[in-house]
Amino acid sequence: MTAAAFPMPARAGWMLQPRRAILGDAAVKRFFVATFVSLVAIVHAVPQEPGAVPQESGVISQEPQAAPPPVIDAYGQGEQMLALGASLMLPLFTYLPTAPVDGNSLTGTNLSPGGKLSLRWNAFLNSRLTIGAEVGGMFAIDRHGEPLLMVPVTGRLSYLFNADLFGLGRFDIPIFVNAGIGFMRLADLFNVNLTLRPGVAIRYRYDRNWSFGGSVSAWLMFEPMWGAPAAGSGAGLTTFLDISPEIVYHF
Amino acid sequence: MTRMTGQRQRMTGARRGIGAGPIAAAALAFALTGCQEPITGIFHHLAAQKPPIDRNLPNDLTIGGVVRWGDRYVVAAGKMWSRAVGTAEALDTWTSMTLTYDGESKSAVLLPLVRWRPAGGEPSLLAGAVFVDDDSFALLRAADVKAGSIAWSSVRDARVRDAAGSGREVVGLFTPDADESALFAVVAGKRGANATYTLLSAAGPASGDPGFDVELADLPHPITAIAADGDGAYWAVAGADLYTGSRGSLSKSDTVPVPSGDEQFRGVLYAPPDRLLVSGSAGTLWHSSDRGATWDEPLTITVADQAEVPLAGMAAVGATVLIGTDGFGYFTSVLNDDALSTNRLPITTEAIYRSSIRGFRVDRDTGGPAATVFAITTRDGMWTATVSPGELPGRWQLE
Repeated sequence: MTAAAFPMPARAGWMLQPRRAILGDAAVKRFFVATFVSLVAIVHAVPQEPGAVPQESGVISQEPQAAPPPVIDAYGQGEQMLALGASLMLPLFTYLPTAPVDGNSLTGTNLSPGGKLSLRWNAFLNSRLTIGAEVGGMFAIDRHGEPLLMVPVTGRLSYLFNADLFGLGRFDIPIFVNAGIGFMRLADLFNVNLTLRPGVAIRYRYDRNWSFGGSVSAWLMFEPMWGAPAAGSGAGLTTFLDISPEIVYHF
Repeated sequence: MTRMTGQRQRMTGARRGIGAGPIAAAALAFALTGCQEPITGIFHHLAAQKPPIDRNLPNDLTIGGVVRWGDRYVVAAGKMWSRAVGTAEALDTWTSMTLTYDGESKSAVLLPLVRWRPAGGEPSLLAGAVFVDDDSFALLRAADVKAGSIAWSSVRDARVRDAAGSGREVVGLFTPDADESALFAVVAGKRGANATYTLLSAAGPASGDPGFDVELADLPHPITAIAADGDGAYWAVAGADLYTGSRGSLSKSDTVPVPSGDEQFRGVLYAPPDRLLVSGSAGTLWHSSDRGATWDEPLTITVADQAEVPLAGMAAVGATVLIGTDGFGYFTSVLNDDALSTNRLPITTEAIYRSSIRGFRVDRDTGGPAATVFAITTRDGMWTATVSPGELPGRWQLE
């Protein structure tokens, strides 16, 4: 990956902006000059459209020309990512394999839409495959107003595609699967579930260190009975749709 | 997942060379949850949750009292409402009642409410009221209740009035006997830091206003609960004191256990043949098997992450005892030959789980062994369930 692939926007002009209230005419002139110089610098910094060729006369003319292939830098083994995400958790359904409710094995979750905050670390095994871990805290409210709190702790495997989309720049598109356990608490009930979470993300690579985007994933949380079930109770699989904006730091 | 399955998984993992991480996680999960017996599946519980059944009574009320009058229930919670007894399925709605006071229409707040049935006499309703316009107090009595209205008259007994003839504040009313023949009223004397309270009692006359006697005077704390054995013996709690005796001769018990710290008695319950339960504000439950002559080692009620559970009033239907709490719903205990034990209501039942339940009122006219029980709360409305002797309450519904 090269710096040229992700040019930093020129910010010198902004930094030179004086505070008008304390300036005289000479300072105002210097401000306009500095602003002009900054604009020129910005124009030179912005990549020109493909096919726009500056002529010797300085007039830009459009000539048919094959667009150059998008620059896609590959990640390298050992590169790492830290991601912070905030999710909207939409409950989908619950499957009760052993103890149906009112004769139904497939029921609603009886949970409100909830939220989740998560922190994730990933490392590249090669240019496309990453392995990592994710920890988060999520909640949803039951129909009696009691919060269901969960702390999923999962490992994560992802396979990353990338592309230059819409002429906007580079996008990373990882498909991923998390697997692990989730600690659950509802009032004085506590249990541990087994979690599987497949999903896909898309992130705009802003520069060498940062990318922004979002993911959509499905949480499959299976709560086994780790002991003798209470009368009428049983195992359950509850599912959520996770819609999550995220910010990723690359290092 | 059974223990055998867990072993099989661990063996498989070893053969395939899986790292120790997943095995450790599974072991941790098993260790954390394996101690819960039996296990309630959280997802299963959630899937089985039913929406609360809610009648139209506002759900942020502080309930002062609820009584049955013929085929209607009447509740005082500042204002008064009534509904047909009906059935749980019928969902009869509450209607606000029109009240008059000595023939006049006034704004008043009514809280304590009881039905009093003097021996051989006509039943009447009694309520404590404060009139909003002039902040005056009155003990009110009504000999008849229409479906939508009550005509109250002020009780003229001098013991519920001060020297100037104004009504004294009635902070509690009790008819603890099953036949509701004895009436107890707690009236406030001096207010402020040195407040005092007086306990009055009446068993007649058969009609008209009750003829009160002073039972206990200059109490530093109001009486919060009174229990009766139905044979003329009473127990009353106030502050850290227990009073016992027959009507007209109540006196402080000298065998009562001494609460520790600032704990105060909140409730008292008599359960035949000779059992006595006293609940404390810091989670202590005292039990006597000989009408309070001696007391067992007290039971301290706690829940996870909470040092103590403030207990409140109690009620019994047969061997089933319900113990209200401040903020933790209620606890149950089934009295039998085993050592006294309690259980919090299972969360698998109701939204009443976190309510502050000051006490319970049992509809003594329900008929049959099962009884309709009202849980009266502080700003959590009122709940109703059917309780069978020796069984846990059925599904609670919000009034």
